[in-house]
Amino acid sequence: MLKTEAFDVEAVRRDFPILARKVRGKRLVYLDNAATTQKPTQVIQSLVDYYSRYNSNIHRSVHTLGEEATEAHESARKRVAGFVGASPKGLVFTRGTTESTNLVRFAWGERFVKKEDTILATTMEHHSNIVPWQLLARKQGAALKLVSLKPDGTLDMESLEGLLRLSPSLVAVTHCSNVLGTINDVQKVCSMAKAAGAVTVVDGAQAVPHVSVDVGEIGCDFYAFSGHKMLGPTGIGALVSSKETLEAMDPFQGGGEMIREVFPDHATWNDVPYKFEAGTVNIADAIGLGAAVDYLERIGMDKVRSHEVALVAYAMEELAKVKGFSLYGPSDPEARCGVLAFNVADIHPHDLATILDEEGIAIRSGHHCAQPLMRWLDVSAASRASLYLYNSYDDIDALKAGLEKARRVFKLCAAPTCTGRSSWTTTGTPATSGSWRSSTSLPATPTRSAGTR
Amino acid sequence: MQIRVGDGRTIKEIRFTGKGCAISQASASMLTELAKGKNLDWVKALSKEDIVGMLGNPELGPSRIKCALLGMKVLKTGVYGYLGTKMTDTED
Repeated sequence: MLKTEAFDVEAVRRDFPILARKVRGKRLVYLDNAATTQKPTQVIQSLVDYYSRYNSNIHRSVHTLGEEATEAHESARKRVAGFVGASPKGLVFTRGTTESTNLVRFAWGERFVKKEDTILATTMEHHSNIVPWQLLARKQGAALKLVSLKPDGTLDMESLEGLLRLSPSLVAVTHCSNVLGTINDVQKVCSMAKAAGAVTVVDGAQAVPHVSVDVGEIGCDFYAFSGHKMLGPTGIGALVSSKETLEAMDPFQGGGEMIREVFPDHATWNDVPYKFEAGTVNIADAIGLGAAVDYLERIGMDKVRSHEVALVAYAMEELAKVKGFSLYGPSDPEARCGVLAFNVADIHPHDLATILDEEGIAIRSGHHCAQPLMRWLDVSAASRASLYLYNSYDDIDALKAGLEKARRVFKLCAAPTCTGRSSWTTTGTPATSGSWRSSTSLPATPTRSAGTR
Repeated sequence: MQIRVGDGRTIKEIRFTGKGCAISQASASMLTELAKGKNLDWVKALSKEDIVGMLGNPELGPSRIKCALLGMKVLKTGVYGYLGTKMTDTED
């Protein structure tokens, strides 16, 4: 397969000091980007600069440092908003995607969702775009329903159409699945939802770092994302909406900065977006996120995307050669972002991740904060390799070699048709007490007793 | 995890059904071997160190130690439930 590069990956790698690190004596192969990404020197330096040159509170202090910090913070807001095609007045800085969806839950949901309303989410949502709606539904006496998926891991649009007939007040959907990698046609979902009279919330946590996003084109009412998944610091993210929508909402948290005037018994609210930014905000990390956006824009999101598609295509082809490898999600690399969730035969993902870690390879294992989806996939856990702009073809080769090693550790047989264990599991002695309580039905999982292993 | 208690406080038989990583399955399996014939007070006194020692003192980080302790946690919860007393163990 042709190994093309949309930009100089080696040059990009040099911007990330952590990539020079050795893990267990091996080159670090960082493939856990859907969990959090590494930070380039430019972002790290922006934090050092802020704290060493102009650290100050913003929007209140009139001294030089205060003015500089305010200017840097608001400039970051402009650049981050511009990055997703939003207006700065419509961008609320939050702690991340989770705080963004919860802001919608409290400030919009508790005001506008009524008893017996329907709220829609999808089966592929991350917990951050499903649990807030469960809590909102419970508080308001509404019902939450999930749009089902098609076998290929894409949204079932007929299911959506059917559920939209219930005239939901809110439709929550992820732009890109953190497990399946599926990129949803959120523009279509939002236009269908809007036609049914629903307000839309899009979880962009896995999309903004990887594909070019224009919230105006998508046509959603709310768009949420996190900074730390796009080269920025942890603890900063955003909720994007329109000025009008934000103005119609209740405040989120009460405190300083979010008010206009405070009387002994009541208060009036500041202009948006400040109405939703109570207390001293995360100034440094907002500035850091601005630096991350600058970095991505300098490379170009179209190039980031084409690099990832090429890597995903290569990974899908190479990893499929590992016996027992099964990948979840769409089979077309163009239809997914750089997330590859998989299992290898019956090796538990935690064991796989530990074996890969011995090779310096970092992947995620577990339920990926998407338990309804794991139930739909009928697996208790999966391994996940997720890519970003600094990953290389060598990283994929290392992963493949690591998976082969895991097969050897677990003594899986090498026959092309064999995906399970070799014969060693059958050599144990029979259960000494295997017959007791045999009349009750035990789950169809392996039962082990004292004396058997 | 299932146990059969004899003489009021002795584990006569013990078995478990499990699905999980190698550490959790090995730890639970070894624990059933160790627990057979023991007194319920022995279960109550089990500690994290006992389990790690039983496994041969592997190097386990904060995430994987949970896998190793899962079987013990289940057994203890069951025994305390059987005895009708509140578990006072603290997590560390």
